[in-house]
Amino acid sequence: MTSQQDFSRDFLRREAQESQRLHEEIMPSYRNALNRLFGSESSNSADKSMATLNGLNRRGFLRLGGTTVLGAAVLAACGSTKSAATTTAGATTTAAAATTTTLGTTSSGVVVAEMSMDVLVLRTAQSIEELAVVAYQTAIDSGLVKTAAIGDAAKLFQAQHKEHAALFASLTKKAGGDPFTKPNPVILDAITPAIQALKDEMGIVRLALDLETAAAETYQSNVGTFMDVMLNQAIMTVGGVEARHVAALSSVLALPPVSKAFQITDKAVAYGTGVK
Amino acid sequence: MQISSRQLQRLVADVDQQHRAGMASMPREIKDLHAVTRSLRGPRAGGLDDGAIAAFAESVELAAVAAYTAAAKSGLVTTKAVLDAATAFAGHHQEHAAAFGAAAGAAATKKANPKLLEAVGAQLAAAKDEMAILEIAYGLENAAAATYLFALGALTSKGALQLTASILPVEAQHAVVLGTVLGKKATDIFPSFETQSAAVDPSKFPVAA
Repeated sequence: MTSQQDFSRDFLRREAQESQRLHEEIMPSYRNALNRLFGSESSNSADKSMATLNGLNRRGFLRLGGTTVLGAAVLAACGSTKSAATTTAGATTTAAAATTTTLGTTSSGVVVAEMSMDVLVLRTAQSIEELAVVAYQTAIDSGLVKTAAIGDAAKLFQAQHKEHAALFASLTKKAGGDPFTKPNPVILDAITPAIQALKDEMGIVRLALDLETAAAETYQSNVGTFMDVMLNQAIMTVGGVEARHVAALSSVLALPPVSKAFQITDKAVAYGTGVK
Repeated sequence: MQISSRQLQRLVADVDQQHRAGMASMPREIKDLHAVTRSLRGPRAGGLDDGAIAAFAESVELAAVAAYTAAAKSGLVTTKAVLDAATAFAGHHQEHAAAFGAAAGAAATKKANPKLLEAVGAQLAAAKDEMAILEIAYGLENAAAATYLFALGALTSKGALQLTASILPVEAQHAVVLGTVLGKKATDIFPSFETQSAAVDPSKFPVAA
């Protein structure tokens, strides 16, 4: 087998450049896709094809990192905790390190909890799903969503995030842990100012896209880290769906629905973020 | 540590509340867990090692490349935007094939999966219009995503697992684009969970000799 480092070096990096170029040249956006998905069915197939695939080729939108309203805030929050999480995990270098992470200490240095890495990853996953549920509810209640199709999409996606949260809760219990039933507090804190500053429907869609992207990339990043190998599959039963949400939301924002040949993990949330 | 009776009462109340909240959601969680367990039932790896699974994935990707190429040459795809998307997706599959081929090492065949090619070829031959072509591509992309979900349950090396996890979401996104053009129902395009139900079975679709 070729190592993961080889994949990164030989394929992923090259792919990132190539797919960027490819999309700039030929991959159009489909801004009104959700209208057709959830809205009127009166248009014919040819119209759907053209409207879905044609049109926009906005180079500016392809710089994904620079387009997100909340990305910087989320990344800043996750980045700071990522290093903390890495440090914590790195400290557990005993034989048990692979399966158990020491979590948090009191000011007097007393260890307050221990849980398996699998549990920590699953609690993080559930916290992201719970956050998505709350974020979509905020969007639905905001009065800013004027397009019925976008409102319908928000409701469907929210319902699916509830199912995902329930799944992660079940898996957490199965792994011997306690489900994390609240929205991820670190990410919530990071994005709250942006939520409060939301002014229109597109802002809400950008927020949703940021959260869905973070979820999709987080679950991908978790694959290969589990002690219970069944979880590699289980988490991607959800990860694939979040990627589908990303494609739909991207299209609404006139971003490429499939931005690259390989999904990367630069917006993944580090396990343990906000759930210790 | 000392604790007052009031504190104890409050703690008990908290625990009771948590218990009640947990019990309220438990039936749904169990149902979901069973649902995902069912979704993880798919083809059996049949003793294939990582190299063989990667070679199988390579063959599936090359079959997808061949299918898109054949579709483009069929003359049935008349909408330029659809053709452009097909070209882009074929390019992605070519890159996926190269990555899986590298992962497969000596087991790589660099050949499209013969039986899958045969099956998709028959579908393409029967296609009468652009929408029929898109329907085939939609099925192929969902099958690819399902196949990689299957592979995630069979692979053992971290590198192969992570590579597969970087590709599955892209196939799912291809399916979203194609399903949208086809006017599929939202709940078809966006299932609650990815499943293995449409996975290509390596025992029925072996790689080329």
